[in-house]
Amino acid sequence: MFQFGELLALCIGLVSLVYLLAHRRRIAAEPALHPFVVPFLLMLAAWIATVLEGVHFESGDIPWLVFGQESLSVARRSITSELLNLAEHAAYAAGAVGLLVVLWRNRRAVRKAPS
Amino acid sequence: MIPTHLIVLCDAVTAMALVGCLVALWRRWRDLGNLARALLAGIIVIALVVAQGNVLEWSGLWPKADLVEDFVEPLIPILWLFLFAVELERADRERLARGYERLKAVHDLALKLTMMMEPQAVMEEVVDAAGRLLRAPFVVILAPDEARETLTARAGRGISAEEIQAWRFRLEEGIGGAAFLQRRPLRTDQPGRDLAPPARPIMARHGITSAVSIPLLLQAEAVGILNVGRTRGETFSDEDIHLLETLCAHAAVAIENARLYAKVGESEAKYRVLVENAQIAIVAIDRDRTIRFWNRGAEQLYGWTADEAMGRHIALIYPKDKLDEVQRTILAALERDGTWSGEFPLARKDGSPFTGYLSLAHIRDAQGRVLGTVGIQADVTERVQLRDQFFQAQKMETVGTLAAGIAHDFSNLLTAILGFASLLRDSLPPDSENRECAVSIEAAAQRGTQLVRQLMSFGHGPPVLRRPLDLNRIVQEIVELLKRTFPRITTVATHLASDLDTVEADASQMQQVLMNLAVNARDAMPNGGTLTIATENVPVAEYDALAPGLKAGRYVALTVTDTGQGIPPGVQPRIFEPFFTTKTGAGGTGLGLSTVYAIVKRHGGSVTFRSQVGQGTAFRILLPAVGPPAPI
Repeated sequence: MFQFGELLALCIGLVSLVYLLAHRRRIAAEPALHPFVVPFLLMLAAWIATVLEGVHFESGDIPWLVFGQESLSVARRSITSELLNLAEHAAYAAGAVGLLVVLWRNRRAVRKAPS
Repeated sequence: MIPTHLIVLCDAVTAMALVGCLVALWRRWRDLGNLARALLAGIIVIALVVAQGNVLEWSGLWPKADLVEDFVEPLIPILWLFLFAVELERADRERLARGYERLKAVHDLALKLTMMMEPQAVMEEVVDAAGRLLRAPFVVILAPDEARETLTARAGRGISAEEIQAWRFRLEEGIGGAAFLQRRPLRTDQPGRDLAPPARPIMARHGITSAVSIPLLLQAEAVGILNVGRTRGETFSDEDIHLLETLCAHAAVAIENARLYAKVGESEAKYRVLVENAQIAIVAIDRDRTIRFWNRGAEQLYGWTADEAMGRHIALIYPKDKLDEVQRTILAALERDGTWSGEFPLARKDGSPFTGYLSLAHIRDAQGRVLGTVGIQADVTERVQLRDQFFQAQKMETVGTLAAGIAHDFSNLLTAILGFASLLRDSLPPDSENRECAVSIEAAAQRGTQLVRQLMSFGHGPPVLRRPLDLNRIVQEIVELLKRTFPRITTVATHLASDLDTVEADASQMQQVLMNLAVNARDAMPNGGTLTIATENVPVAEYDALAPGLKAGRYVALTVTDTGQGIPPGVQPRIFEPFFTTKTGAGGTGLGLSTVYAIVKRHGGSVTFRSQVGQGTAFRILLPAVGPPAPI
């Protein structure tokens, strides 16, 4: 079952994706925006893991395209679910650290910028 | 199974990173805009509310609430979105600020360039500005030669003078030449390959990794190239190139202006030297007729120095009694036609008058408004005198020819009258009353003959028996005669040159000249005075105003000066005319001076005079010298 936070994160993620795509040229032209791409990709990975975990949890089936098999044993399903959950949390953690790094770097850039 | 503590660890890292983000954001509070502050405040409030009591679970809206998954995980994309938006805004602001700063820098530079008058200084300033604005360590400006076949470096930044000296290449070489020919910017990230061969080693030496060539365009024509290089892999953005293009547009105009200014300056300096040192007087006045320019020629002509004349009214060059005439003639013509030229009486600083030739013209601005007047002036007094003397000589020649013709006819008539009067007298008895009439006719005819002879002497004159003659001897003979015949109240003095050259002249005619002048002098001094006769050798130059009509050479001057009444100015132009006399009664025939004039002319000489009323008159006769003094 999806948790409320996960659903909210997914919605916000979709908005972020649209926003990112809308500003892709600006991002390409502005070097200061480049560091934002990495946390976003990590978040994207977390959302994908969340969706896969949620789909697996709800239906008990794992998409064949991902795992190459139509059905797995309960034990294997449980491990997959836990791995996806770990990947989700790890990706969020990396994304949050990435954001902190970006914020930290930009804070230094602001200080260096001429008044 | 995956250990749970790994997930807890990840969540802990996530939570700590987010706390760090919030702290960092809080510290940037001053940098944030109002919207960003509101958003951030909202996030913090939501976080606090959610964290305080798992409100969602308590309210039953969601069956199982989890602090990390319900609060932290959505917070990450929210924070990302927020930071991205803030950063985007900051980037926009920075870009605008950078653009404004660059535009301001270009504007300031353009202002600075307009004040610069040296092309080299302009190029150095442009090079420096390009380097500063783009933070580029390497900038070179190149200009074509006159044939527009090669480009040569003129100024550079981050490059030595020797390298600038060596940087010269043909237009078809490298992107610099191509940018010049195609009149568009070209950039390269491989300067070692794309630049002209002479520039490559210099680029390699300075570690240039990217370069751009911007043409300096003036009315669509390239007048130079600006090469900018960057190191350490830094490239040039479109924005950089637009900035450089703007810079180059200003630079092209400034360089051209400086070049034109230098050219105008050279021309102005040349003409200023020419005008200031011209021998002819050049004077400029403003609309109020205040003198604003006064050259060396004017100083020499008028006697006023530039310091004395500048700032004063132009009336100072005119005689005071001519100011009304200036208004009527010169100023009226200038007002009407914008120009005026002609002869006009002028005055020197010491008040002495002279005849000047003036050529005046208005100075106008682009709209045709009169700014002032410029004029050239020259002293033409001598020329006017020469011209008057020439006219006088022509008149005298005409009158002489006329007089000679009339005298000849009268001579024939008088010969007949005289002959028949003699025959009549002889045919009458001595006691006849008619004999007295015949004698009277004969006497009148004799006097007529005498006059006719004088007239003929003025016209063609008797034949000149020229012999080498010492004028001093003639003077001494005449002086002896004068001393015996002139009243005692008249003193006769001589100043004779001991080394006087010989002249070729008729002695009797020279005596007549001297006698005529001496008699006139005596008559001009009824109350006595001094008659001085002087001789001297004088060289005469071509077109000498004091020796009109004479060729250059050595001459003997004979001067007869009296201290009499002088000749009034109104009479002076006519004194050599035959039958013109100011003597009343039977004293003068009006042929004395005309005879002097005719004799001197027949001897190839000239006669001039100076006279001042109340002070006296001096006649000066010049006769050509033919040799050294005659041996005693």
